[in-house]
Amino acid sequence: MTTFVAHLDADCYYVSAERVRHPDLTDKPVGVLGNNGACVIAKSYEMKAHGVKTGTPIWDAAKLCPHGVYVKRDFYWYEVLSRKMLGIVGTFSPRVEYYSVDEFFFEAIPTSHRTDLPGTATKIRDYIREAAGLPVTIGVARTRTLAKLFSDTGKPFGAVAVLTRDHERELLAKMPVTEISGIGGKRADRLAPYGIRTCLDLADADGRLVNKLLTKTGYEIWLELNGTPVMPIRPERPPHQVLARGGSLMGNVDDPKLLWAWCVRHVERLIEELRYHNVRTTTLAIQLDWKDGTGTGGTTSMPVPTDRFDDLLDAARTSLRRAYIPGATATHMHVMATELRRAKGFQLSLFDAPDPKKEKLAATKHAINEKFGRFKVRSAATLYLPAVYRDPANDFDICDIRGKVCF
Amino acid sequence: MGDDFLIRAAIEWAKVAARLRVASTGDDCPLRAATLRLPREVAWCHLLFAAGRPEAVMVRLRGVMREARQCADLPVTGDVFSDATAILACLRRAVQCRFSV
Repeated sequence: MTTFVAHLDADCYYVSAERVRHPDLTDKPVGVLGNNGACVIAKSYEMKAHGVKTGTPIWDAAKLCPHGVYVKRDFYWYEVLSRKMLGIVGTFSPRVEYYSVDEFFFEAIPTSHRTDLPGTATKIRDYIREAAGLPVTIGVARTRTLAKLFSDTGKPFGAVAVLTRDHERELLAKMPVTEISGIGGKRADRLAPYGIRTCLDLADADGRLVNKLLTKTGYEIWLELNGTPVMPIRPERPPHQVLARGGSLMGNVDDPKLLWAWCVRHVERLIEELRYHNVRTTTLAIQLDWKDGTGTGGTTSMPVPTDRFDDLLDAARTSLRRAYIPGATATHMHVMATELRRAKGFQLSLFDAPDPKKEKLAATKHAINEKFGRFKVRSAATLYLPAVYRDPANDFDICDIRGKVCF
Repeated sequence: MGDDFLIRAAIEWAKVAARLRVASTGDDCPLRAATLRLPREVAWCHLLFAAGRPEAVMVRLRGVMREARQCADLPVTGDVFSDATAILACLRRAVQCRFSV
């Protein structure tokens, strides 16, 4: 028996979530701004009609859509509603993958013997609208790749079930190959000389050619386009290979003290993740992006896996020195733990005696922040970033939403 | 008890916070600061509650009470719904008295 996969994608999710708690924003052009309020990271269809795109700076957006309403993002709220949607979908399907904050994959099962799959998709969509106040689009097809492609065709507030090969081919013929997640400009350029421009062209191409041009990932997409499921629904997120924290430095930073303050902030955030996932790291890497478009990196290895602030700070200092260019202006920084080990059961070396005092200190800091709020106890080095800590919007970022499969 | 009561409370408090933002200025008032922070705190409490951590919900809500310097002697029944409702009602009265919103 053929099993079908459904893809649920919330329509303009951040804007829709804001409209749940601020219904007066309904039907108005709304833009959600990023953490330093400089760029539009999500927009309503009404704002999109004025030419505002994701990534448009606020000063340009305000010119394009002067009567728009601009709100700062609040990932606390977005996660709450996202989990609510997840709970609802879980009542309709035994296998749900939390792909991202606004996208889920799930096994499509008719809600009753009298309801077919198109009816089920419509029912789930309507129920989410009613119970969570969020408009979503659902696509149902034989594979994940097809379900995701077809849900895009149904936006907004659609429910599309494509159950036959003829119907699949009809829709695939209208879609450029770049619509497929994972086939961007460079990969599309590789396909173009072979006349592969639409999704149907790719599906009809020789599998060996696709494998040669796009490697294994592309070949898997090809199989999925032809209805062979190779990417299963993952109800649990596979363990992380790498944990990282970082992002924009909220402006241009050339002062080493500020750079160090950001580095310490990201190390503290990284430690939270290491503790949450119950892992330690033996390697700490720092990646810096500079204003001129270049990037540099530095990596430091540690003899014993650790999640302790003092150890990681020493490693971060060395990594940052390796990545640092004196006098240059940095715009982004990422701190990465690349070699993860389970927090228990690793081998200490002869010279690495455990330090119960420092372990206790780290545990106390963690316990205080758990109880009284994030960053209540933090390194004094971060005092150079008062504005960052004053703004509660910086307490919680999209990467702090755990359990997502996408990253 | 509806399991969405904290989401509904978060939505209500978002409206209160929006009115408060318009009605008053100044960051030095602890009650105002706590009220502006409350919608996301309550929203987060929904997740904690859904994750089976009612004690964490109460810790966070009492934290807001402390921040707002509303130290009224609220009864502790051990039932999250009753205790959270009492805390939020107490804060609501305080905000209404102080800011008329």
